[in-house]
Amino acid sequence: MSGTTILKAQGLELWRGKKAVLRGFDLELTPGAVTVLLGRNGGGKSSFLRACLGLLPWRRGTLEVLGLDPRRRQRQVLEQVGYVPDVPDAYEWMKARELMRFLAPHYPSWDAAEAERCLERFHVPHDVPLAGLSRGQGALLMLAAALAPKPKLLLLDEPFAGLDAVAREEVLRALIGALGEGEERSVLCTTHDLDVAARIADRIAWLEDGRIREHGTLPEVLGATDDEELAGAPRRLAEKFLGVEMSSHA
Amino acid sequence: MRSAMIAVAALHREGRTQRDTLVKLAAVTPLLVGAITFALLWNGSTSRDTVGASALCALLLGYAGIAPGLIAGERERGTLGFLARTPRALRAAFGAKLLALVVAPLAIGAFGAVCAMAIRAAISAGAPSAFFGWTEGYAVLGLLVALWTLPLGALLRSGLVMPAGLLLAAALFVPLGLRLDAPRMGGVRIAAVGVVVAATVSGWLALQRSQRNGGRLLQSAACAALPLLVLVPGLHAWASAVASKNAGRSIPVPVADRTHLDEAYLGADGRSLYLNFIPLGAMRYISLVLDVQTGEVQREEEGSYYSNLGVFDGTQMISGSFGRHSLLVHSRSEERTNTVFETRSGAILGERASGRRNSIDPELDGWMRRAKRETTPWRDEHGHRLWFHGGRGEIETAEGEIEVREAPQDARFVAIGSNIRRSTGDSKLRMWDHLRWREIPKMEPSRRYLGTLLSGWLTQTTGAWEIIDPEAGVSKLSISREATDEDSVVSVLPLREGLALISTHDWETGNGRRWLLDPKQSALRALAVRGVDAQRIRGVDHGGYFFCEARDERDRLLLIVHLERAMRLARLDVNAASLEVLSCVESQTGESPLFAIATVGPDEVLVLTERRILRASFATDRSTVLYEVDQP
Repeated sequence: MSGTTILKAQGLELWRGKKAVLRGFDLELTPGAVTVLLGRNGGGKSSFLRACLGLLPWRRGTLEVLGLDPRRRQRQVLEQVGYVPDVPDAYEWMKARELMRFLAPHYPSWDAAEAERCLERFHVPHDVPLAGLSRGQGALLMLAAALAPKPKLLLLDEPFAGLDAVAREEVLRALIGALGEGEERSVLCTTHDLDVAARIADRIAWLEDGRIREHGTLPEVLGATDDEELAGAPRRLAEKFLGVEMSSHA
Repeated sequence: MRSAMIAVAALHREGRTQRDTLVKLAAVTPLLVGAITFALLWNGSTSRDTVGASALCALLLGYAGIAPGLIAGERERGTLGFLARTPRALRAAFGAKLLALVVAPLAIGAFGAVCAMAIRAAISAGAPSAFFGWTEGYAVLGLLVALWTLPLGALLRSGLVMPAGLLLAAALFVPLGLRLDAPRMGGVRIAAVGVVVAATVSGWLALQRSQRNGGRLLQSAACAALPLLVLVPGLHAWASAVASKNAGRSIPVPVADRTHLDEAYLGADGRSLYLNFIPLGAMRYISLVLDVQTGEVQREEEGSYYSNLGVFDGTQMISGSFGRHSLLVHSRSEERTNTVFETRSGAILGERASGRRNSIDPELDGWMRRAKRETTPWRDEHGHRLWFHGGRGEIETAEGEIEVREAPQDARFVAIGSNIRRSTGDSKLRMWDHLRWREIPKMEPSRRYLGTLLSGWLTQTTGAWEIIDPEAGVSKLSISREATDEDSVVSVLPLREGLALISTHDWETGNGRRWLLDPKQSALRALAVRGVDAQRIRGVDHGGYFFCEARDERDRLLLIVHLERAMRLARLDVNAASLEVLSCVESQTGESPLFAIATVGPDEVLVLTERRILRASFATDRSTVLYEVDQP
């Protein structure tokens, strides 16, 4: 892993229809860190992740994922990158085991034991079709499927969007637990949930007007020097990036 | 190994995804088939029609049910993104969808056929025979339309995919059809392959671009249209080339699809074939001379035709008796002129006479009478020569004079087969068999005239065949138990051995048989068929029309038989009552009936159907199409 860029975007310009969603976008991930890409809805976060998977073309700039151009080496990129969508996108008839059985041959590094372990740890029912799972269970199933091939880079596209508080907590704990063990893994998670960002992020990148406005560790971004200042991170992030005045009890 | 596992996973996923649709289609199919079967039966169709129609409708139902959801369904479910972000899954899924597009409708079609057979068997005692010949073209057309649903599925909603596919196929094929007028089968196959390849490539590109561009319609549509941009000019260039190449070999008349061969005369050189085609509705002949060695065609102007004056030195293959002749008339309808060519040993020596019809008719009349007198094989009981000329019977007397037998006042001559004239009146039937007039007794119960033998007439009554000989009386043939009440004689070929080769056909079951009839003994023998599986002869032999004999060097009769929709050369050993099937002349004969064959070489025959002329070897399986009326 050393010497290889995990993810590096330089001067990226990406259009959706007649709108440039990314323009002059620069971002480089730190290996082994959880980077949270923050930004408003429709700001281009999901488009950037799709570009990282080679599913969207860009007009200008360069993008490297694990040292590869996703447009030209899409298969190799997909084999080494785990992806969790905002809404479970597998077939509704697929049960957890059927999903794993379908995905297994597509990934050279697929670890069936790891898949089983994730399902057990996340308490995902094995024999219930995706359509019968709760939204939180569906997200956990997608997370388990993304972790099973032991990806070097995990891309999470708003995995907590649309979840109620209980489900969100459940998925968040599962995610933190999964990231905390095993081999070193780089993570890029997009969200507009500042609380989530504060709890999982090693680094924060703020996306605004199609480019990264600020990027650094949470203390760096907040200018915090002690733990007390970090304790109010969600509020301070909101104040800093959204210009929202929030009470200290919020 | 991994690729195989991915393929298996893709197939399983596709099958599971389409499972509900397939179950619904399987549930609807028996209802559809039942409705079709009963509707067709009420209209008097045979079992093979009901099975073929049911299979086709079920197949098209399968296409309509499966095709729109293959790609558009994925888009609408939101699962296309899942496949696109799974490594190698999109490609495998596309392959699985292509397979599903072919296999699933075929399975539904087969299920429909089975349902139709079961329904037919349940309501009738006889086991129905499956017959799919006429459905194949529509099935392939359905597949071609369905294939366009792949690129369209990446662009449009599933409900719009099938209508759009139909429109696209029409936009592609209608101009091609107009340009080609009547493409040859080989060309149609090339076009079909081109369409399949283009549709598949379009589908893949559209699917990929649709994903990459996040559903941007314009780019995706451009990718889908790209192979079309190559295909359409290519097909039209090919059509132009074919049309240009066929300019001298095809018949450019507006009713070309109904044009058929009417008469053919083979020169004694075994090389020049004089052909008259009739475009139905146009009422004007089109005549050609075909070199059977080189396939070169010399086309006469429209409205001209060749006619046999009975003096053409060659073999008249169609519409008349076989024999040796030495004159050929070329008539031009527009100019109302006739040109008479003298032919000796097959070569046209030159014009014999030419002019307006009325002016040369007397001269022709003399030539014809003389030639017929010289070539007639018939003698009366006193050894005097008999022939027909100008619609009259003529007998040469002992003094060398010609005695003319006119048709009675209340009757007229009608040519039947090759050797008989019949006069019909209001109340009686007279027949002339080259020896004398015979008045046929009023036939009760009603008989159906089947054919003329040397000494009588073959007729059929319910459950029996009869030979009516006015002198010897009526003799019933002992039909073997293999012939049923349903058997109808479709052709009678008198053989020079004094026997007759009879082809029968059971219209209900589609079975056909061939028999050797000995009129003198009133004996009927079913032919033993060698060279094919005995089981396969059932339901396949449709007989043919014979007006001449083609024999090999050992005097065995060469025939064409239809076996399982293929036209096959066969050799009949008359003494052994044995028919040996030799080789396949042409498969997919369609509905074009066989006209005649003639030997043109030591081991070759010329086969003439309504629309094609083939040169076939009975020593090998090779056959060459020398000429064909372009198919519509």
